[in-house]
Amino acid sequence: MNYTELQVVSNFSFLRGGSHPEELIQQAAYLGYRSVALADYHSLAGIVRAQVAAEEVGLRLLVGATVLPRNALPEFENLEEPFPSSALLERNFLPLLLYPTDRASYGRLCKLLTRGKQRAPKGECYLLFEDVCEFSDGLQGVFALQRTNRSQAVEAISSLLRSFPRDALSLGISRSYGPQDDETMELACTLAREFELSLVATNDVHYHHPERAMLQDVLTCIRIGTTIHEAGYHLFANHERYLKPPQEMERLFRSLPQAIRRSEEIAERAAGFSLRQVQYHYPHEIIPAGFTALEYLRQETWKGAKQKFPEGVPEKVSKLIEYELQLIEELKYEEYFLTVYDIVTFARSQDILCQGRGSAANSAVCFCLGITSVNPGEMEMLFERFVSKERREPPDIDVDFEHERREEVIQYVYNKYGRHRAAIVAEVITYRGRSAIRDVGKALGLSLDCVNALASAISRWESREVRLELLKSAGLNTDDQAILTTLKLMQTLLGFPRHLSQHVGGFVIANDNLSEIVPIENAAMEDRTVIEWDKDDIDALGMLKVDVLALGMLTAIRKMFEFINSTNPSSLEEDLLRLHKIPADDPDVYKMISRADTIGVFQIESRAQMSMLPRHRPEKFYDLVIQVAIVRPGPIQGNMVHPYLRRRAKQEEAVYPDERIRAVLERTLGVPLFQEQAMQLAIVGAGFTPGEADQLRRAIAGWKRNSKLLLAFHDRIMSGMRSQGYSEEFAVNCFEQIKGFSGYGFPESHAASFALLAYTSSWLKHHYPAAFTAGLLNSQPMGFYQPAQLIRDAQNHQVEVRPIDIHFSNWDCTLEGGALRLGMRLVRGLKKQEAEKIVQTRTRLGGKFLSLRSLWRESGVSTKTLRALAAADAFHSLQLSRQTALWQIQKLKDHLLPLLEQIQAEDDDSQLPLLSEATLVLQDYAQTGFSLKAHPVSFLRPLLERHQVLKTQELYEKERWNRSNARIAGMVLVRQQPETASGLIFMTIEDETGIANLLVRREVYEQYRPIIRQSTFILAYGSVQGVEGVVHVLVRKVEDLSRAFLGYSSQSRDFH
Amino acid sequence: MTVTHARALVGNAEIARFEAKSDLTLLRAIARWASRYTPLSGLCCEFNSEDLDSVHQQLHSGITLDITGSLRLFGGEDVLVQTLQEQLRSFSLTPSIAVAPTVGTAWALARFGGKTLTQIDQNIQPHIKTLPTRALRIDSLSREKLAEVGITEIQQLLQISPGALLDRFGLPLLMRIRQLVGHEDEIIMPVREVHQPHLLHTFSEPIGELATIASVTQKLLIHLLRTLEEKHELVRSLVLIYQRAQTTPAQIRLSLSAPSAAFDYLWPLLLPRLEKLNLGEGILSISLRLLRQSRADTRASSFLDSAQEMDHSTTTTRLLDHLLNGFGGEISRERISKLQLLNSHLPERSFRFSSDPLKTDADFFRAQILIRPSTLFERPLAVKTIALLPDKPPSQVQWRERSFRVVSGIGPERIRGEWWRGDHPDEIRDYFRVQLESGTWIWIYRRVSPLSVPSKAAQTQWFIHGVWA
Repeated sequence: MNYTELQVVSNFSFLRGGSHPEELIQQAAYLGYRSVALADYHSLAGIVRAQVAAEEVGLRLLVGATVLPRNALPEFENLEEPFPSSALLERNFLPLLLYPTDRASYGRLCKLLTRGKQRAPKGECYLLFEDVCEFSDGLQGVFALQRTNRSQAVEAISSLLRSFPRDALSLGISRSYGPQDDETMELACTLAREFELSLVATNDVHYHHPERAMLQDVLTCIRIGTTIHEAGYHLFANHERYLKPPQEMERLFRSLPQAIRRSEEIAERAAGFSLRQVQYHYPHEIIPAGFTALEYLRQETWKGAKQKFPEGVPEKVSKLIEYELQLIEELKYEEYFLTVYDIVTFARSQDILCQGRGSAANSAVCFCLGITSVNPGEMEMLFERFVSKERREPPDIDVDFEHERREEVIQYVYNKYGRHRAAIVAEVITYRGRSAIRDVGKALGLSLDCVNALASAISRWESREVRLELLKSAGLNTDDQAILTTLKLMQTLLGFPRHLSQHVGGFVIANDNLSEIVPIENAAMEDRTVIEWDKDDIDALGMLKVDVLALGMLTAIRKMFEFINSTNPSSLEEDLLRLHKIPADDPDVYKMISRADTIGVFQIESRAQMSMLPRHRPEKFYDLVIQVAIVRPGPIQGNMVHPYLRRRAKQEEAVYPDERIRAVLERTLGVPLFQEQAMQLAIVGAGFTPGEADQLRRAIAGWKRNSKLLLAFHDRIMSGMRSQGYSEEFAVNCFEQIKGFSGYGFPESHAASFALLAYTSSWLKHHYPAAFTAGLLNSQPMGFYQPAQLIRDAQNHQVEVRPIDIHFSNWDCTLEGGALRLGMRLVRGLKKQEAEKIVQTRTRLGGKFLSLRSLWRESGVSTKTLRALAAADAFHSLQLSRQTALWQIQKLKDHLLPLLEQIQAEDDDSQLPLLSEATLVLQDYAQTGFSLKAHPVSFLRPLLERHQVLKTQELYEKERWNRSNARIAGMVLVRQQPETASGLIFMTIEDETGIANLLVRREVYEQYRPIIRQSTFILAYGSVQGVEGVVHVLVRKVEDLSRAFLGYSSQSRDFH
Repeated sequence: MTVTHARALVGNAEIARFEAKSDLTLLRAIARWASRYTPLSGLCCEFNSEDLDSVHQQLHSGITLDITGSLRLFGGEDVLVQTLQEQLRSFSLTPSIAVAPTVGTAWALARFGGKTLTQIDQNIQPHIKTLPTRALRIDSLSREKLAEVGITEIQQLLQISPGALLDRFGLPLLMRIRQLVGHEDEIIMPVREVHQPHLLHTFSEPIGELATIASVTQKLLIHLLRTLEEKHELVRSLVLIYQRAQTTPAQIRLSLSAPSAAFDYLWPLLLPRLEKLNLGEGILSISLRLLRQSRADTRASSFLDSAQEMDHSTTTTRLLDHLLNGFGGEISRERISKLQLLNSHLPERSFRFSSDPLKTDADFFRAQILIRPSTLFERPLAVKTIALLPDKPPSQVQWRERSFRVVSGIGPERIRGEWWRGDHPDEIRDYFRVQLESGTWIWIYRRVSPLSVPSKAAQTQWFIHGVWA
């Protein structure tokens, strides 16, 4: 006799199961099971990882799902019911377990779940008995009797027997020491006799080991939104729902051996289906009739090559193309490239700018196909470095599209392949330190204050480690049992899936009906459908995924190109500026970058990037690739930045233990900066197979979730390095660096594509600063800086900036000759339609409004619109200031009849108080965040000078560096507390001469917290620290200057 | 600003709730107290009771006194003001007082004058010039609109022609300006004492007949209920005082668990107690005082009366009310308790006796399907047994010095201790329903130590936890 556990839920039955699918599989193997089923509630989300785990331990995974069929769908208005009450409703439904027995019935199960999900709110699944009956063909059903409600059970069984043959339906019973086990058993036997059904034993497994029972109780509390003290009967009465040894199950069912036998029978039938039978096929549309995939790919590649190189394809490139095509053929990637090509071709036909990145993207083939603009002729990029023959990893191309137009691409994909064949990949949202502690703490009944204190005591980086001393300092009792239990359970909860969300842009496209491969659910967003599997699941099953991503900078660059090309008298394609035609390696552009003059530039504009640039001094494209990758948490955590900079400055030599390591690390001066290098280190240094290296990559990414796994790799790497003859020190070092990539590692292939956009945007900034700024402003919100800073930066680059004006501005910013005319989009609270009404009316009236009143009447805009425009001081060409325009608008009444309105006389505004220049500037800032008149700090300058306050510009004079008693004042632009900066707070302040970066230590921050968090203008005391063009002020003391500007308010980026 | 935000700015900020209602009560009390100086003592702006919670009201809170006529009585303005100030300080209040020819000016100066005591004469203008526009008692929208054209002070506002202001801000703004400078009068609404209804019937001679006394009491009650009905109020508690000839008065106090204004409901509660009253030498007078009342929710009551089907819980609550009000007369409320079902698998924690009979039961549904003995022992009784392991009921039980053979047993039902509580968190109990040879069914459990579940017989202990009657 062989017992198989059929009723198992994992933590993909969200907030219900207390173990990962992998844990359940491993435990089953350990207990001696030969096969085990996974039947999550309304979901197949966990089965792929279960399958992978089962293959590893040599266990047979039986695929299944638990459904709760009902007699009627809930009323429409109940759809929005809050979660707890729907949890309460559950007890009205009896669980039915379904197991496919072949590929076709698996498809039906997927379809069944898809139907239930698509008619229910997100995260729920509404199924009727008739739905189950409709798709029942080939499914083995187990009706789990858990309560003794005879009439309900009889009704349900009768419904099911309408379509289930008698040998395909069994009655499931558990001996979990419940309050009425004997009664339930008796009922089951009676029903089995009456309906001629078999009984089958299950243990209703909710966790793999009894030690998870407490966590399961807590999950129940979270699910129904209560505390453990209140949960009462919602919890299981005892902790018996673990995976019990088969012998124990046989003992429990010794009086009913047929129920044990039946489990084996069902298992045998369910074994007729294995997840490996799910075959993926590329969509057929991508290859025209009469071609093979390779023929078509070859044709299109060469066609593209000839266009890209009108003067003839360079030999180097044509060699590359042939080599790559050969590799692609070998790896059978043709269809993948063609699928991406199809999407990109569509985007190009619609003038949507796009740029590919990822392991396969930076190839000559992709360049010719227009997937990327990284020119293989000019960049030293090895395709093989990204697509390796041995690794056999699935090809990976992410394509970024203009953020404003990505939806068009997505809808193209849906339209071309249909919603039944294209869907977005799921993203499993898992518990992180803070969310875990919040939920567990609340469930254990800790006070909100206590929960918050705990949450903030969790170190952001090492979310597994809770610093006890921090807890003590927060006034928490570290001996308190509830707190200790919270911490313990929270550790286990980390990495538990919480719900499914949609991946940012990963699409699966299949030749067949997707809903027969995997259940599909509606996404939170309208018009989106999401499958239940995430990208790792897709990978494991060898399914294609294309990432259709959104990138603001592409929108901006397209707009910049439009500005530049529109001034070009020629409209011939060869004369127009295009992404791939930006001249490479322009030394002036690199000089600009090295000055950290990069506000608005893609990727290298952040404060951290800018402080690195003058030290790094990029001179060629590959330097930018490194620059993009180096200012990331991974390299910073792995202590790789400073060695790299020292070596680049020739202050130290990179030392390589041998030539093989040199080959891996030389291009980054001996420092592993890229994910690819980490893997190559493992292969070369520790003797990993490419397959193992790929596992390592995944382990690194998921390290926070599963530290045990990484520990195993640690031993593997150390022993591997030793056996290859490397020193202990080198090995330790390597491992630490590899670990530094956990979750943040940046692949070289991505860095290359980002670097191209960084270079392109720098080039545009250098050569066309007005078009650059206009393009950025018209693509907001995006990037690191507010419009105000972008405008100021443009002015610093000698761009003439003209104010918003109802006579001259459109919605978007425009170029007037070389000058930048600000658009009405910068007006706060103005709607686009309203602005367009004004522009249309202006055109109709021949470009001239007679008065504010006539503008109002002719355009039909609301007074709210007028107020917004007046607040932005946009009526200057009507000789109206902000004050006088508002004074006039206050008289206008939206609902007043025209006749009455005419009776009102225009009254004079000379009675209004006179406003000072400073007030006007402050009003500018309050309304639009910037002023073209003056900088507010300039009005305080006489006062500041009397107190020896420096101008920000003066900080950059070398003789002031390392002065300890500097004073600096300005308007706060940015406050940031980066996770990498160990408690340091960064502030950027601005005065009339430029900006200054302030560093605030934790203790100083605590002392001046209200000022630092709240004030718009500050006066800072501290020491100037300057190194190679990078200057900071380390702040000792802060004063609030805001009071000098009463009534001022502005927006600044707050802590994130 | 949210509390969280405030805490982020000031770590040790002390947070207190804005209690509009109690603030208002206090203010009314002060106004009543101040009416000793002038009958025209009122709250600054009449509160709209619907709008109590708005923070805006806080600014307006304060009291206004018209002291024009009382100056002589109290020895002139200075003396009066000083007395007021001292008195208020002696109540631990910090007053800010302004005396001015117009209510508007006094209001403004008390709040924005920057001094705790301001007294000005007929010439208002120089004192109000630099006051902010908010000193005008105008709504915040008008203030913002003025600010956006640069008008933040009253003197700037006074520069603008009234016509221009009227077009933009309407009459209220002009009215406030006119009130400020004294071109328009303002009325003070004096506070009045709120009287509880108090009805009295005096007999011309002592009456000893219960029937008469009952009928008068009835009339008084009906009268009271009618008054309450007009005000949409219900009785919560009342007291009847019977003045007896030659001796101390007798009282009947009635407190209701649910407020009511129905005679048919109240009278049966009163009558039995009236019948027991010692009338002594006869009753001289009957007075009826309302002690506490509450507002009637007219919508709900009419719904309840008309609705044919009342849901179960409402009916139960009503019946319970009747029962309790009935008891209440005879048994002191503190001595009534109710068995209340709680949310716990552990039998001894699955109920409690609650002194609040209106507390609702926990998960009734779940509790219903559990089979529990009719008598549950306060403390489980340790007993000796002979039992087969692992999950069989005992075959023999030693109980009350006698040995019983077990005829049949059902179980086990395993219940785990509540691990989140300090006491016996790891305890596991296997309960059996067991019939003894005497015919009695007992509820017996074996205590198991966790994870080492069945095997070690020596460590398992048996307890009887209850019996079926």
